[in-house]
Amino acid sequence: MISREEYLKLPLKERFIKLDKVEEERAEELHEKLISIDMHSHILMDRYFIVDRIKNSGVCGWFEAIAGIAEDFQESMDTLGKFLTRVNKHPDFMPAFKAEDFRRAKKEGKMAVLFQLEPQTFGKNLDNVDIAYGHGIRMALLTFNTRTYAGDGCGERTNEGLSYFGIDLVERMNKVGMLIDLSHVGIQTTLDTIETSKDPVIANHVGARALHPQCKRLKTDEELKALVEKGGIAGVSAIPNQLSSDEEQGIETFLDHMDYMVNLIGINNVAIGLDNTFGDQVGFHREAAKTIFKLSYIGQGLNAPYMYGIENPEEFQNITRGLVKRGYSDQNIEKILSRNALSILERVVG
Amino acid sequence: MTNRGYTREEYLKLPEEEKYIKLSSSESERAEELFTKSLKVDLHTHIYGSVIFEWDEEKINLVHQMGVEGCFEAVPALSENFAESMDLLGKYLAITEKEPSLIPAYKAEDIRKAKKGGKQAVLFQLEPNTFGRNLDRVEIAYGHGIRMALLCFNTRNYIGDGIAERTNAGLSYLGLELVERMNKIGMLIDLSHSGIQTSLDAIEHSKDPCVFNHAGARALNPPCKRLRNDEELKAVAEKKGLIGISAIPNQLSFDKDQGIEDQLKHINYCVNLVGIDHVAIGLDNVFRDQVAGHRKSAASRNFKESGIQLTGDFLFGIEGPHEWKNIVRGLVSEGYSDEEIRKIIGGNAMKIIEKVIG
Repeated sequence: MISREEYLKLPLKERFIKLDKVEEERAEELHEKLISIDMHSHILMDRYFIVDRIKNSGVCGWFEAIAGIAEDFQESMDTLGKFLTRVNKHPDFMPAFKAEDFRRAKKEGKMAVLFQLEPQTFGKNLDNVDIAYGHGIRMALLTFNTRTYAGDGCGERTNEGLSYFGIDLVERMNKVGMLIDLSHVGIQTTLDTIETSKDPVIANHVGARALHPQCKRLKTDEELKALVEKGGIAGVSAIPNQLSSDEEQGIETFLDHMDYMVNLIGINNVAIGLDNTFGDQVGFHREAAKTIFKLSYIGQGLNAPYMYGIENPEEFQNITRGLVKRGYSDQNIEKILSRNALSILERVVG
Repeated sequence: MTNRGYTREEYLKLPEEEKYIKLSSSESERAEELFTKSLKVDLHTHIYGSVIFEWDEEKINLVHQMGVEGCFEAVPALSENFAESMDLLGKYLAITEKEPSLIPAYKAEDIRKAKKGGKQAVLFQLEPNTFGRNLDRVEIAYGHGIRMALLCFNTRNYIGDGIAERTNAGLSYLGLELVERMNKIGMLIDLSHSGIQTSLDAIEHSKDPCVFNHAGARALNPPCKRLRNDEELKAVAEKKGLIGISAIPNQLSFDKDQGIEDQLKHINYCVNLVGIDHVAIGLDNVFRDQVAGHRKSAASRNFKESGIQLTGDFLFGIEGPHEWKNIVRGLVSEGYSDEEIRKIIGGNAMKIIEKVIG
């Protein structure tokens, strides 16, 4: 693989999957016509908010993660406030609080942004669920790699289930209508949550553990099956070195995980949650590994410098091309791009 | 309800000789001398209460009657909010500074100084700990005067599981780091209220001795999860730690008539199991009707899951911290030597404070 710097100098089309003329036209038409949603992204931070490139991605909206490693509630609400101002003030964007907002955005030629907490910052206070909802949060993770009051993360040294507080939290999120995200959540806590929740839940930026067993960020077959049994969905992510430990990885690796999940849990239960940014993610991981983000806990390496063909949000359109190339029907492509995501949003959030 | 025929109100009016353990006059003299001359430490107290205006002359008289030279006062910010716990600590320190008979204490030497000056030294501990995910708060809390902290309080936190949690998780990665951080700065680790696996993990991981500073022996009252099983007691003693025997109604026993005898039974059991060097006192009782307070929260899940049954109204002979002297009388009546009694009522505590805190 060429270096990331060289890669980023290539014109977009050269980074993308090669298609014949008929496929090319079909992919472009589909991408133009369909609503595309990225269920997990980090685009609104100052350094990644590059409007032209975001528009280039062709998505009509995404779920923006409010990241606050300190898990401090006030801090997460401050960040949310800034992000809301950003999308409210910019003519090309709008905040989203329900499924309908994405459809409206498509019609108006805008991009809609729905907000989620990653990690959740509720601490021990259940009322924070209502407060966060009031300020605009519609989805939240239960745990982020390590332990919270609710449960164990996927990188924790133990694998305990939900605590009593965790059960209360699931019930409160059900009551308010906040979608529960189980990405980054440990196996037993994941299974307990699926069992406890009366609403369907999601794992919005994961992959299939069966394809890369060492990475704990990915979901086992048991978790994925349990998830869909209760009507939930899984989003496939495109973070380097989580889907594979190969030195060369990219859009094909991403599509392999998608194919595997579609086979395992069905076309109605798979979506996209890229989790990537416009920055050097592997560089960030290398630095963060020294302090807050212990890669060894989750079995993530640093082998590949980036994901070829899905390096950043701008390359989202390459997914549509890949799905065309792999023989998905128009209807199935629509399901993956947005129908499944909108359907669960409608059921749980409104 | 009554205890040995007395309601709590009637009990409080009884003269000391009717409340306290009966001794011969020579035993009584020996107990009096041991109580007066020995250095006494209570490893877990709630003498301040939660609001500053509770502090009045009646209360200070009870504190004087308690007569210990050193105690670890718990700072109870149940929200587990750090700022709230530091605010409360500030109030407690203010009380301690202003009250001439008390001195704020930060090390073993301060307790000895208090003994010499006829005062009571007060050290502070966090119950629950309020560090959240930010381990720098260990240092911040230490700077403000905290010298001991619980790892978990009944339920789960970032560190581990409490005794009333539905699971029995061990320490988290952050928990391992917290133990190291507390070791590094010299803050005592208290495992009372922590679940079994979390306690065993902490004892194993800590390079300093740990304490169960207000507990008892589970073997004597198995349904009560606040008490510690033999494996935990042996593990903590093996690493030179301590078990402080508490005097909270409806934990040491679920009999209707509970009292100082129950506390002595737990002391005897622990001394037999882990040796005289690992047993101390951490009463955890207060100057008010505790069971009335417990009844208010009896319906809570936290309470039910602790396995506590509200069968008794009060502990006869150790109803509040002001009856501390009766512990010494009890130890005399149980046949402990002077040296053994001095270890239990303060010597063992002083040793661990010196070793871990300084």
